[in-house]
Amino acid sequence: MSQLPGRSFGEQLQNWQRKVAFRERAVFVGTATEVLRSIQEGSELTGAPGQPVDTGTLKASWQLSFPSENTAQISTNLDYAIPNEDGVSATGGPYVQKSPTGGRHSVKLTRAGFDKIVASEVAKVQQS
Amino acid sequence: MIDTTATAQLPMRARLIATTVCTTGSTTLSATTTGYARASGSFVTDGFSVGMEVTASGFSTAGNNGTGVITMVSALAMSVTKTALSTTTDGKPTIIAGTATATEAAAAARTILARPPQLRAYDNVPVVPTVGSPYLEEDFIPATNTLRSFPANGGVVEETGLYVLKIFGISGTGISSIRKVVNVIKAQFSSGTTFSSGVVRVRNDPGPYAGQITPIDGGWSYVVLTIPWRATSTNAVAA
Repeated sequence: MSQLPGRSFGEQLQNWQRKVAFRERAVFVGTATEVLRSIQEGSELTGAPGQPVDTGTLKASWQLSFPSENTAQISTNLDYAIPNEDGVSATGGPYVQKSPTGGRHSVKLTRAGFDKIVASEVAKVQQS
Repeated sequence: MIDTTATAQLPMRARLIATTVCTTGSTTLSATTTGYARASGSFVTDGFSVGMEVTASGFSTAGNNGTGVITMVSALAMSVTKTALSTTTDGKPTIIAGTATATEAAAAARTILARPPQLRAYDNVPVVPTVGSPYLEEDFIPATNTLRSFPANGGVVEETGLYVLKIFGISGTGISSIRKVVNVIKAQFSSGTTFSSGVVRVRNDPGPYAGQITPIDGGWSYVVLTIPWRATSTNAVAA
């Protein structure tokens, strides 16, 4: 850090700390938001297709919350979200997707592509 | 970029097919009207459990060879319901009843082994499952590509994806059978395992993972085994 006129070294250090904290928070929230988007809508970063849509209930059931300052939680309360994710019919017969949009394995693909989501959010913050 | 069917999916499928879950090895076995028996050793120690699909070979009576599902197992005896791979009237693979075992005296050079289920719904190949007989579904899912080095033409491109196996076992048979099958298959795809001369590699970030046993209607419980992979190749930009 170069010496700015009128600012002490201590003040510059504090300013830098605030900037780092802001960027770290931005990456955290941005990553959590992008994880939700990947599962819900699909993502070009992860290849996830997003949720199939019939009535829209399943897609809307996926929610993002922040249980604590450093924890994000993406969840759904629908039982049939699991067999839909896995491509398994809950009745034991063959799985048939009726929706022309979305697909299976969005959670798995999001998990596998998590590093790309983080890299994308870091790049956004670095450009800001 | 690569042909992921030829370099990833088919080699992974070949490894799956070649997996042996457990085996007696070549040993002295007899056949009974309900299954098989031995005078020494232990079917339980060998790893067999109720609900597992097994294949016997080396018997003189043809009906004592072939595949069946274990309904009871102890150290020296195993009861099986014999099955056979068939096709429906519209050509879909399915399982039908096989020839029941018959009494045959003990002799050497016989083997009983368990492999992944013989009824397999590979990608875009529907099957008709039969209650009481395990089966397996395969999903091959290419994901995204990333150019990892420059220049674009001639640089390294990384492709990623998932190889997902769904193993359907018989509900109410506990954890031993389905978990053993899943764990043995998972061990065949441990992190760092390579295919096609190293072009394709099983990832460790995340590595392969199996889910919980999930019961569904129809007498099935299933486990999903997810195998993340990556492939690297030389990027070629079309003129």
